[in-house]
Amino acid sequence: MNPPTADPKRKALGASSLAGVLLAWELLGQMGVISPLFLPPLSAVIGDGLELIKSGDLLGHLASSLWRILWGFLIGAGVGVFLGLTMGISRLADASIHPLIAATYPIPKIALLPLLILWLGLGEGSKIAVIALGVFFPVVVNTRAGVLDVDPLLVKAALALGSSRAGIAWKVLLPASLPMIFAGLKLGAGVALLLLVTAEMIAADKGIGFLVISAANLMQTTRLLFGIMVLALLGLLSNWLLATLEKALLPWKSETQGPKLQTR
Amino acid sequence: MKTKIEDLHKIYSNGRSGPVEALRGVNLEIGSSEFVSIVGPSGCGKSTLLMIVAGLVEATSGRVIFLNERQERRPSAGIVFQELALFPWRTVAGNVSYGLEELGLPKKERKERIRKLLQMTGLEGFEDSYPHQLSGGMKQRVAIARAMATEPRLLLMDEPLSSLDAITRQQMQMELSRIYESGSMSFLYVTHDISEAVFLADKLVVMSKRPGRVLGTFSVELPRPRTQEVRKLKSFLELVAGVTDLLEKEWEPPPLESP
Repeated sequence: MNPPTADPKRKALGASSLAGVLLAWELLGQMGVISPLFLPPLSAVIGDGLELIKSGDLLGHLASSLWRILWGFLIGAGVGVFLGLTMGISRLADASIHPLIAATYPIPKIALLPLLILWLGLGEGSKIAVIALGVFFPVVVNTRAGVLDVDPLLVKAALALGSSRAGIAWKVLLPASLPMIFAGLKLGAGVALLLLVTAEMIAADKGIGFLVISAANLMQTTRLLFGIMVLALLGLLSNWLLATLEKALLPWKSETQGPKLQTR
Repeated sequence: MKTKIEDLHKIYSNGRSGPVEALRGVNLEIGSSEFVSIVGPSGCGKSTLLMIVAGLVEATSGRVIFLNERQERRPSAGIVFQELALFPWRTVAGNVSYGLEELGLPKKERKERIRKLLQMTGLEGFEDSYPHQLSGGMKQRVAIARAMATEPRLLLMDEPLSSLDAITRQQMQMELSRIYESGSMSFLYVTHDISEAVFLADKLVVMSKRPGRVLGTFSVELPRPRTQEVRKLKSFLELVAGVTDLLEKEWEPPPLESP
């Protein structure tokens, strides 16, 4: 997510609308308009959260979640980029692998969790595997599309400059498809978070997803809301990390533009 | 290095309405350090000819020979495409560096050569810019510098100036003559602009519409270095007129069939 940052006016507007929502939330709770069982005030949520942090419970949950999502993402993205490139480069690989991927892409990955638990047990393996699967598909599909979309003239230019086949794959096809690969990684990051939370709600005794579901079972609404806030921060963090990495690797892509229609 | 193009035929078999004959028996010789321009109507197979010489497209029959060539690793021919085909993820210096990397030159030597090339093509100070940050004329220079980097004996150019405005275009024509006159490279230069072809060339080849054949060859005996003054010479204007006449016949619509 890359909000247009250049304009301080816009920045202020964004910050104030966020502050407005948070303030309204706090006031609604304080004035007793909504029962604290349904929507406790922001301050109570933060207070409960601080306790969770102090006791070290949060750190434990966060560590398990981060471990799972990191490995799942790395494995899924790594295999996805590799296979996507292979399919984009080799017709033979594409003909043999693409139908398989097209046929399995529509399966909601969470439906595979019971099967994965059966195969890999209740431990970390099944949760990491389901995240890896979820990340793999958008990444492999985007990478392949990115390679197939490379301007053939760039390949000709590289050939005329003396490139070998391997040189073209590494020095033309990979960098040319990086924007598409990143689009896939961003989609994958969203899917990863979704699968992480779901898997932890279904089969875990640790993790932010577990924190949220167990708080809900005990009607601890403050804790539940705090868990959701942590997840929101996790999502923001992963977006920011990917955007920073993209900026560093793709300085040649002109910056993301704001909305086309300016309203001033 | 002399380049001989012998009886080149090209038929594209996968045309939408059956096979397309792009070239029919093209013979052409490019002397050592000679500037050869090719003019012809659009779609006459000029680009195909260049691609074949560059080794990027296979001829149906006939051959291209590079004579007197010592066994060298560098490519015999460099090419500048009409659409330039710069690598957008590489800076100006990075684009120029590409062929040198593929040659396996050490970094220090690459740097030195890049510096010289950028100086020659007027790109100093733009080393670290990306192609999308440059104007059309500057991009053109990058494409030329990139193709020249590996020091090919023959530089192929496919309408490289066709997307520029008239003024930049004339400037680039002067630049090209200067680059040609200061080196020992041969040029094979395709254009549809007759006066550009005459201004640059030692030898001018006129091609027919599809299937492309050589209609005629003109020897261009204009003084070098070529300056703007050359455009006002009587011999320049006569040549332009002569080539125009030849092409005009080619452009005539086919006669109506008599009843």
